[in-house]
Amino acid sequence: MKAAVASLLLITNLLAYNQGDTINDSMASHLGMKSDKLYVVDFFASWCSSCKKELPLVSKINKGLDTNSVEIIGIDVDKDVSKGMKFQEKLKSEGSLTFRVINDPQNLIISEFQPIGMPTLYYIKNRKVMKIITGAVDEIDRVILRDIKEME
Amino acid sequence: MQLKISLAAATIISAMAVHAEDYVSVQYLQYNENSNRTAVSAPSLIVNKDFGTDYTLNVNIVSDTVSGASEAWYDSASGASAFSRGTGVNASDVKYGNVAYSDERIAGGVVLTTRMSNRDELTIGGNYSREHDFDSKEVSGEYMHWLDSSKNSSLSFGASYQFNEVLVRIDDTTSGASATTVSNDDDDDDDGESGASEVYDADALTLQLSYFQNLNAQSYFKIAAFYIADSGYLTNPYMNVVRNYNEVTNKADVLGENRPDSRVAYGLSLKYANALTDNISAHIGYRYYSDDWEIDSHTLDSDLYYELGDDWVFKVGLRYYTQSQAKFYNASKDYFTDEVYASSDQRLSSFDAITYKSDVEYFISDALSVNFSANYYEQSTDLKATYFMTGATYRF
Amino acid sequence: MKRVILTAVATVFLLSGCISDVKPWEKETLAKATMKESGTNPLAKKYEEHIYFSKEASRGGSGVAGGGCGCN
Repeated sequence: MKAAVASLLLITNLLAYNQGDTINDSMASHLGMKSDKLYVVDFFASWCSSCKKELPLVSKINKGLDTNSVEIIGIDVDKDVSKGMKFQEKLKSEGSLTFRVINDPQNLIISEFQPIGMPTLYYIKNRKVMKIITGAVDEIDRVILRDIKEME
Repeated sequence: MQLKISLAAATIISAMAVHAEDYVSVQYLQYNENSNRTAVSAPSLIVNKDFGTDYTLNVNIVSDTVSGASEAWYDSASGASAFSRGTGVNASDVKYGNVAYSDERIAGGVVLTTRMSNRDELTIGGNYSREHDFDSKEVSGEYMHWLDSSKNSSLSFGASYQFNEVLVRIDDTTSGASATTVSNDDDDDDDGESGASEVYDADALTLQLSYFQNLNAQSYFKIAAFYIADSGYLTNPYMNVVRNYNEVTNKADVLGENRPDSRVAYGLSLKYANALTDNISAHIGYRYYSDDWEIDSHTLDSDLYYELGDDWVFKVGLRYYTQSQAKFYNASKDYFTDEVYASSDQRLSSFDAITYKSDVEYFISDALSVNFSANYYEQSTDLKATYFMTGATYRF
Repeated sequence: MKRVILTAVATVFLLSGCISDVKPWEKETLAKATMKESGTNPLAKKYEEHIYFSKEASRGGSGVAGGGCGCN
């Protein structure tokens, strides 16, 4: 039994987007990655309490970003779209969600990325995964700003 | 997509931090027994707060006011008091009934959880409880280790140590007994003999090992093995036994009970929870307990939650409990003679108990909810109790 | 006692046979308040355990911390 679970994990890891991997054409187009900007993809959900704490911080730094070179894209993986939208509306009204969001209710996008935790941030440039940050991180806003500077 | 088995060395894996929600909850308990026995009013407060991503602090405080009566043997010729004792009393005056008591208890605890970089958790806690005749200090620690990177299974080991003090000195004489409250500062002479100026200690060590496993996206189970060792003064100073009942002379001795100075217990508990549908969740648990006083017990506990819309959560539950009696327990007037250990405390007898539980929670907003619960507890001894709880929780 | 342990272990193995690896984004249901081990009201659960400890002769199985009282 344990061997089966381990094999499954290994296989799904092979199908994941890890650092250094290239996002395929259809995914890149689906996410609207048209240019050679640095894209920061943020996977979140209404039920993820770590995400609730992270989103306002990510939104805060989004305001100061040069949209010609960096863009943040949120992916809401709520299976119930209305629940997800309600969550997004509430955050927007508080100024805690300032970037565009793609709804992924069937979890097709996240299943390709296969992050090992929630929330997860993927830094993607020229369709290549530069860096992945998984889980709650202290002062994530500072971390992202530092990373963006390094990647420019 | 390049297929690559890379462990992405530069990937920061802080992984799924299980952020506790920040909340404040106030609750009030009202507990009442049949026949004007014990009544308890207890308000309480709990605060749970995250600090950064790695620390969660939990503080709780509860204040009980206990009043009423409990059942004990006493010599009615000296009045209805647990200290109406003596040797050679008239057997016809020996009664088993309600003796009045009242008390106030205040207890508080602090628990700090620290998350490691691999998101394992170390929890350290301290708890203090004080009644006029009892003082308890406890320290506890628990370590939780994730067994897999998906955080679907974990192993935890916890230990706690309690330092308890009975702050009442019982002076037994041939014609009765008197109780004096002592303070912690009295000489800690602990040879268990009454009549000396001392504080009676009892320490308790608890160890627990548990394994948790998510079975699928809707259910999980948990299994735990535990060990509890009590040592010291485990006797209840307010409980009496009848010894040397003599039918011929119609005399008996009403004396304080005496329990062993050690008690070792172990047990196993199993819990299973399943979200049967989007708005119905069921929990079921079983616990087996066994100690060297020959008390064995089985507990079966179940809860069913029903969510109605976004605003209402209903719960119903049923608990069944059964225990066997302690080897030194007997309720009869004419049983004990010179046995060292003897108790007629009904709580050490063999009985079954059933609890019917119900609870309603209403969400005034996403953050604020109020709750009310009504519960009925009945033992196959003649104890019946109802308890209500009401309160509010604010999540921030 | 031996029977209890064997039954418990058998139950665990039975349940383990049905284990699937739950992905982080599939944990919505498990994260619900109504699925928490301590229930939707942890303070209420603490009260109940205190009541049972005062009126019955058993304890344990629900964690090591809990505090003592002179009620038993």
